[in-house]
Amino acid sequence: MNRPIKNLIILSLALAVATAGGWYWYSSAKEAQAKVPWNAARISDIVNGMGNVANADLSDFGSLNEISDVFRDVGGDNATMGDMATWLDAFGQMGGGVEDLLDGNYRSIGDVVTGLGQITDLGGATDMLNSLGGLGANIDDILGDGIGFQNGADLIANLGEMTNLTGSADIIRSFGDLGANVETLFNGGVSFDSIGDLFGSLDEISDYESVQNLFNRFKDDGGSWDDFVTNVANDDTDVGTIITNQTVTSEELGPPGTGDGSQTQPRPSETRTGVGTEVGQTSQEAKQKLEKERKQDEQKCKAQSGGGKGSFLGDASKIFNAVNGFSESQLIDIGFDSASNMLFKGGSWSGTAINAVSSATGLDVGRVTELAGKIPGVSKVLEKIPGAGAVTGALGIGTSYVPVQEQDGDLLSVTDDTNQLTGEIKDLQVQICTHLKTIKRVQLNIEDKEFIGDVKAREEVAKRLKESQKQTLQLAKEGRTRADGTDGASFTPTVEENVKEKAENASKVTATKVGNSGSAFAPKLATFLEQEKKQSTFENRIASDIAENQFEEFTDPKKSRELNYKSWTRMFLDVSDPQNNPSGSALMALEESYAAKAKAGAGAIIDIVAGGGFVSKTECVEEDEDGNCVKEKVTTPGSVINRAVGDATQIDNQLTLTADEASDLSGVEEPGIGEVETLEPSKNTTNTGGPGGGGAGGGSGPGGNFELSDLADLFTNGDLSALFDLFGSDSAGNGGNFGGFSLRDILDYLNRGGNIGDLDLPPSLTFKLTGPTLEQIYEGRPNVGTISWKAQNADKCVARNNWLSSSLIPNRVESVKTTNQTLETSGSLITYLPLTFDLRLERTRGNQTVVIPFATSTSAALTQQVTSITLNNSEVAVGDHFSLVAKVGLSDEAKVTIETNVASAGAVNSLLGSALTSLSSSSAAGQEFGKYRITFTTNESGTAFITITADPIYSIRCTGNGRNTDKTVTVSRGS
Amino acid sequence: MAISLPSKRFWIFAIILIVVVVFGLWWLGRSEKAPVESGSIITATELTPEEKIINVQTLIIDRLSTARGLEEFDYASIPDDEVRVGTQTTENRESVSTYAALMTQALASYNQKQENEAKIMVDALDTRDQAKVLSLLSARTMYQGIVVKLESISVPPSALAIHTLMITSLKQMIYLLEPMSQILDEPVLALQASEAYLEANTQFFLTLNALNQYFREQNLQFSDDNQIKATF
Repeated sequence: MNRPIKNLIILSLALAVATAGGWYWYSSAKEAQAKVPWNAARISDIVNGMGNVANADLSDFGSLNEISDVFRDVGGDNATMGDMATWLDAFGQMGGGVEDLLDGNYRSIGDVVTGLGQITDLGGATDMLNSLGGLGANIDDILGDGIGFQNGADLIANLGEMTNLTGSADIIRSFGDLGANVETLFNGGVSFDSIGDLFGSLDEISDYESVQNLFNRFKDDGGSWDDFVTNVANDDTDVGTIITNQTVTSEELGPPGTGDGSQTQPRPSETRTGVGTEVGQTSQEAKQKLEKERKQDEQKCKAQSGGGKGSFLGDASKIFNAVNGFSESQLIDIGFDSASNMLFKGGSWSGTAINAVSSATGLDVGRVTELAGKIPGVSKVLEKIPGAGAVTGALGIGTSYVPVQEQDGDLLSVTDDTNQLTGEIKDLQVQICTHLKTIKRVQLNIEDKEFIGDVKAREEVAKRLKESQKQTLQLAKEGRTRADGTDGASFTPTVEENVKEKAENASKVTATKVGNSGSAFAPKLATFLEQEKKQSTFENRIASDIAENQFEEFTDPKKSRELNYKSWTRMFLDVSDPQNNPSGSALMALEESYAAKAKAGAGAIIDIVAGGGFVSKTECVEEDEDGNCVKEKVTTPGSVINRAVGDATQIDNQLTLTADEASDLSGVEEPGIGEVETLEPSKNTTNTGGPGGGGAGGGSGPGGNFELSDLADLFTNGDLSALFDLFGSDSAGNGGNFGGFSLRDILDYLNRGGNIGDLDLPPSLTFKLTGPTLEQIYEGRPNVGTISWKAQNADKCVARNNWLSSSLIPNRVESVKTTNQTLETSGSLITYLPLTFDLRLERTRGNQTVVIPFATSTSAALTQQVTSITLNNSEVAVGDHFSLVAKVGLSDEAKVTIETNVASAGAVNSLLGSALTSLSSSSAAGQEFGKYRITFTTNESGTAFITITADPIYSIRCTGNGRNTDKTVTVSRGS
Repeated sequence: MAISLPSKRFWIFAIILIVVVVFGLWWLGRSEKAPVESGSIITATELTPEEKIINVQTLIIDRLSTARGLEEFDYASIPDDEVRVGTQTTENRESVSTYAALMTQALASYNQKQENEAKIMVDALDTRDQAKVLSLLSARTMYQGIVVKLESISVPPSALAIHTLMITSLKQMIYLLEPMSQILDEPVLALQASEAYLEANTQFFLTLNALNQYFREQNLQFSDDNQIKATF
């Protein structure tokens, strides 16, 4: 045999051996895998392989290390051992309880952790604690006396070796899920010996977020800054050190603090909810707050969904299958009614039943009892099905709804892994719960902002404005110290007085300067100036030094000759002075008159210039004997009136700028200078449209009850919007010139001055109707109208008519407010449109009743239905009964019936009209038909027409001080 | 005849080959294919939590600014009507087999089920996606079809409890899908309904498993084509 052939043969043999050996190894590996599957459930398989836990004597194991050794031997290496949660879940599925795990067999949970410590993929603390929770452990089991951890530090220390420990917040949260609260964590000897212990144990966790979460959790569980400080102080722990080391400021714990723990008041953000409701809150803070609240929502939802409920899954499944497996006779034997009737309700299983199920499932009695006691009331039907109630009940109401442990059967091909599915469902529940909480919170925030925050803000703004106004007006009235040292108005009472005041002051200063000068005649000059000052007045200057008879005697030649030279010379000199002779005095008087006019004119010009064309409002403070005002003072400078009027003319522009939605522009003129040109308010305050398109209806004004003084009061009070609101329209709906008074009238009135403080004003009423435009409705917004009203100085308000809205029942109109129904002085409500109804005309002839044909349409503005009925003479016979029938509620009817004695459609119309008129408004039919506007017409050929509609017209009357203010709005949306 | 042994180089080659083959086969046995993903009810939503909350807030603000308050779900409204199905007069292996065949037909459309409807609804809310809402209505139609078929089946007395519960659960799911489909208009109503839906869905899933167990105990065999993909 040549060498190549030999080599080939040997190679073949070697390959055969290798193949056989390889196959052996392959099979061995497969076999090993069968024992220790490589999927997530391999530990449970191992545990299952150990047999029913009821028969497994765990005390055979000295410690968990021994079990771990067994697992290691079987599994081959530590890396295949799975995570802690899986192990504990499997333990639970065997029926193991927390007592089994922690009592007796294991000295402490520290043993558990230590024993499993070498398993590198040991789950995190959260997983383990959740699993313990799933086994029924509560916080006392874990932290309580003698069972598990000696204290919190023990727990943390034991958990510290877990490389994927996610943070203290997770641990604390897990504690919370197990029912722990702040007291449990921080008080007494149950858990952490001290807060220092806690923080010391958590030293290794240095990331800010974790500590932040810890504090958040601390707060969520009811912890306050005081709790924190008290606990720390009791430990002699330095708060500052903790906070500094953990890079957390005291801000994170809630109250604004100095870091010394002296602050005990909560921050505003901790005492109030609602975005934007906090004074001084920035948008960034609001965003952070929202995010924080969202996280809190999520945490709460996670807590609600329960941790490790997957362990319930297996138990529930067992019970479900076990009970289904019982025969009917067995069920009766063990105390159930029957398989098809109520098997168990509300956890009222008999002891026999529980024992039977316990025996069949391998679950201990306590476990079965626990699950049987959780039957939810919601699953009414499940209660009728053997076992099903228990299964669902095991999942708990509003907590976790998970399917049974799937069994690969012939019918079902592929099912989800239980643990994965449980987690996914839990996640879904958390999402739903979080969304619900978010929505509720947003809703509350909006309501809070709308009904509290905004109101409070407005109140605060009004209060501050009032205070500002008070101070400003005080400054205006008393803010200036006069030259004589007294307080006076910031504005001058009169130009003349001000000039005089300044001139006198200047004169005094000059006299002082002269007196102090080096002039040799200084004393005389000072006296001269003083005398000159006294003579500076017109009265002093024109005062004659001689009597009138002296002048006459001097000018009489006969008598003049009797005077001696000296007397004549003195008299001549005296008479030469203008004040001592008639012509001179006349000239002086004339000059004074001209000067006074010129001064007054100059003052007026100055006033007009200063007021920008508006003269100051003055009042007379001194009159002469003839009643002439010789002295007046300014009460309102023209410049103030100027600015107020300027603001008033810009109201439409401001409303345009501040409009939120189209309906806010109802009644608002397009920005322009109309008011500036005419000094008349805009005349478009009667809305021609309804909600949206053209705006809601305008109000009818308060009629002739109003007086000019009212307007003046409003004007001087600065309530310009109210002024123009009242200016809005007259009772006939004509906008503008209220009661014949123009704005100029008001100005004149103000200029004349008027005591307006004692007037009894009628209520000031704002009545507004807003809603979407037609376009917005077509885009999907609800077709509604929002009516709001607010009356000032009103004792009460009433609806003047039926305020109609579309009912929840299709084609029904309801009165959300009835005629004369008392309303609050402020409020709002929503009406739904269009106003559709079911109202028809029926004719009964003998035993036969027919509906007279009618046509129904909805107005283009989508506000109301219009029904038209046409009745021909040919349809009327003597003796016919005609009924107007209005459907009410689900099945009731309101009916008005007449009998005609003539075969005339017009007669029917007339009779029906009379019948409706005669209805008592307090009767049910009267109230129902009172909602509708029904018109009856007949044409020349005798054909009768009945038109029916329900009007979206809303009218209100507010009463105060014995006076009424009425307003009406109409939804008449433009197309 | 003296047999000359192969060369040293040959033995080295052979040993290496054997080692490679053995290791390869061992590795093949060791690395069994990963567990088959059996579907998931959760698909990653790419929106951040902040984006989701903004979407929800925007929806609520829009909703509250236009009309009445948010509607809430009335759990008492969930129907629990009596289910009326015909029962077989005699029960034997043949009748149970017939029942099984009819059940596989009735439940066949359940294979169309993709994501859990509650999840679809939450996604619709997060993304404000109307298309997802429509898929809820599609699922509703599918369940209605199943109910019609289930109600027409004559049921063995031994399976009556499971069969009845299955129909009841489906009817509850159908009922709840209606308010759930209003998620973009009445989010609170829909979310609260979805909580009840998860419960009803679980009931249905339980009965499906119970049915599976029932047929297993009856030693019935199903072809691959007749298997139901039980996805929650």
